Formats: sequence, C-alpha cells, structure tokens
Amino acid sequence: MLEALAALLKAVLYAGVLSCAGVVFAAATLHASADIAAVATRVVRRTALLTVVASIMSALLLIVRLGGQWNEATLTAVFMSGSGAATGFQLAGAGLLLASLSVPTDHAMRVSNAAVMTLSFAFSGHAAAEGLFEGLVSAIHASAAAWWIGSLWLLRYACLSLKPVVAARMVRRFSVIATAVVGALVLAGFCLILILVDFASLPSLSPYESLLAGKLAIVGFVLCAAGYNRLRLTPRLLNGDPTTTLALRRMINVELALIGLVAAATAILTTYTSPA
Amino acid sequence: MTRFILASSAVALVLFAGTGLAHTTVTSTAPTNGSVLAQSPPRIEIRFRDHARLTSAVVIHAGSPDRQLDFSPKDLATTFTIPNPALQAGRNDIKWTALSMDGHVVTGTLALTIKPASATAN
Repeated sequence: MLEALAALLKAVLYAGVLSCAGVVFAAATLHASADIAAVATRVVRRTALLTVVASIMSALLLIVRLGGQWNEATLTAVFMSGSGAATGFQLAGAGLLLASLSVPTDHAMRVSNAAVMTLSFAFSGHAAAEGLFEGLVSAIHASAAAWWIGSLWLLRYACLSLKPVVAARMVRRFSVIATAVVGALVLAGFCLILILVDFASLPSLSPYESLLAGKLAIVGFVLCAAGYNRLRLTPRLLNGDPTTTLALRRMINVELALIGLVAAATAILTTYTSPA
Repeated sequence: MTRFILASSAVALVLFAGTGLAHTTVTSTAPTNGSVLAQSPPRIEIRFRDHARLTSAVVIHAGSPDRQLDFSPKDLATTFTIPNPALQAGRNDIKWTALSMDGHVVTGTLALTIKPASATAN
C-alpha cells in the first residue's frame, strides 16, 4: 500500500513540476498576451505549491518506507542521495518561482528557476543512476515534455477565452516551436530507451519493458492527437474558421488527459520496476 | 475522458501494489539465509549486487520485542556488516531495508536459527 501511495505521489509530483515549469517555459516562448500572462501566473502559483507539498510528502513517505527511523542512515539515504538532490532542486525551483511572482521579474529569471525544477530529473531515477550524462538526457526529456504540457494549458485557455485571431496567433507560434521541442522530446526518449533497455533479452520482455511498451503505446496516441491538431485543426484556425477554437480546445483536453496517463504510467514504471 | 484516465490510473496503482520487480538485490549473506547455528554469530554481512544504502535492520524473535540492530557503513556500499547481533535461541528474522542507487526501496529478511543452549551442550 505504501508503494501505491508512493506511485500516486510521484504522479502528482510529475504533474506539479512539469505543469509549473512548463507554463513558465511556454509563457516565455509563445509571446503571451497580458491575459495569458495572468493565467500563467495563476497556474504557476498553484502548481508550484502542489510541487512543494508533493515533494515534501514524497520525502516523508520515503523515510517511512525505509523503516521509519529518524537516524543517520535513513536521513543520509533520503537527503544526501540522488533522491535528496532531486527534492532540493524541486523545492528550490518552486520556492524561487513563488517568490518571483510577487515582484516584477523578467522571463529569463523565471525560466532559469523553472529549469532548476526540471533539472531535478538529472539526479533521481533509473537514468540518473547510470551517470550524469544519462541523467541530463532525462532532464532534457522532462524539460521538453514540460514545455509541451505548459503550452497546452495556455492554448486551452486561449481557445476558451480569447478572440480566435489571438488564439490563432498563439497556435501558429506554438506549431513552429513544437516541431523542434517535440522532436527533442522524442529523441531524448529514444536515447533513454537505448540506455535503459536490454535489447539482448528481446523478444522476451521484462516487467519493466512490458510497462514501457504500454507507456509508448499511450505516447503513440498522444502524438496522433497532436498530429491531428497540427495537420487538421491548426490550418482551419489559421484560415479564420472561428468554430475551430472549440474543436481545438476539446482535442487539447484529450491530449492533456493522455499526457496525464503517460505521467501515471511513468510513475508506476519507476516505482515498481527497474530496467535490469 | 479525464475521469476515465484518473480511474484507469487508480486501478493500475492498486494492481501493482506490493509487486516490487527487478530492483537491486542481495547476492549473498553471511551466515546464509536459513542457517542453524550453535550460537549467535559475531557479525552478519549482507552483500548487494549494486551500491545501496542500508537504512534499517530489525531482529524479530518470538516472545521478544523487535530490536533495532546497528550496522556499518551508514553510507553507499555493497557490503554491510551488523556487529554482534546478540541473537537469542530459536528463530530470528532479521528484516532489513535499503535504498538502491535508482531510488527504489529494497527489503528482505534473513532467517537464522540459534540452537538452544541445552541442545548445544548435548
């Protein structure tokens, strides 16, 4: 039961870190209007708080799972390890972002604070256990995913509340950047598979590889939904069809829900199984 | 759609509860698991396949309260030593918990039986 709670907290933590950092990345790159900037601030505040709570609860739960002793060995394991470094980066990034919301801050400062949060993926997890380079690939993978998720949150609002012409401008900008960022996301994910999967044992699949295959299947659906948005809905919106914003918003909801499922699958994958 | 995904995630979490798979593991212990000994060993060694951090070792003996055992090192290592565990006659289960390099919690039990003093004398 503690393992299930750990996986649940990890999924919530992924949602917090990726949404918080992602909205900062997206707001800085999508030429957000004042309306969108206000929405971004609201989302960053909520998701930064979610990150702080989930990160602290995950650390406390880890102490309980390690035997519940407040002794040197347990505290060293929790806080002086890769997990501890990741917790530190998550809390530092979220804290700096929360502090920056109350004072006038430029995008560069907020982006660097958000990058501190996604850098946490370089210190904890299967890839990080392999080495620093592998950990950095994981951080790049997470940062690209964060930008995508953050962009979808802002585009969702734009389709709901802004004039179609303003939403179309954001969608056009998103489409240009998404080609590079989603490409980097997929490439980093492919590198992680090469690093972590033991291809010599194929075609028989370990529990880790079976779950990874399930996650990749969901990723395939996400990419199909993104492709539909890009190839069917975006051209219609850019051609001035005002009814497209509703359809696009629905598809963004589907995309976000599927990405949530990917995050949950990753939490299960990294909590219950190991690559080798 | 969102409700469906949340429900699917919850079901998956429950289905996987309690099934730790393919984390780092113990390669050997000294004394070996299941040993029957004439007296409590001077030390117990637990060796892991990969580097890990041992965080807890508790001896469980019927009729006695659970007892925390000291161990070293307290840092990252592959071999951990429990000095003078002072095991009592009868079955002793040493339950240990460790954190592996990839952040997984790993647990195990080492069962050692100490012969009663009268049986040893005979």
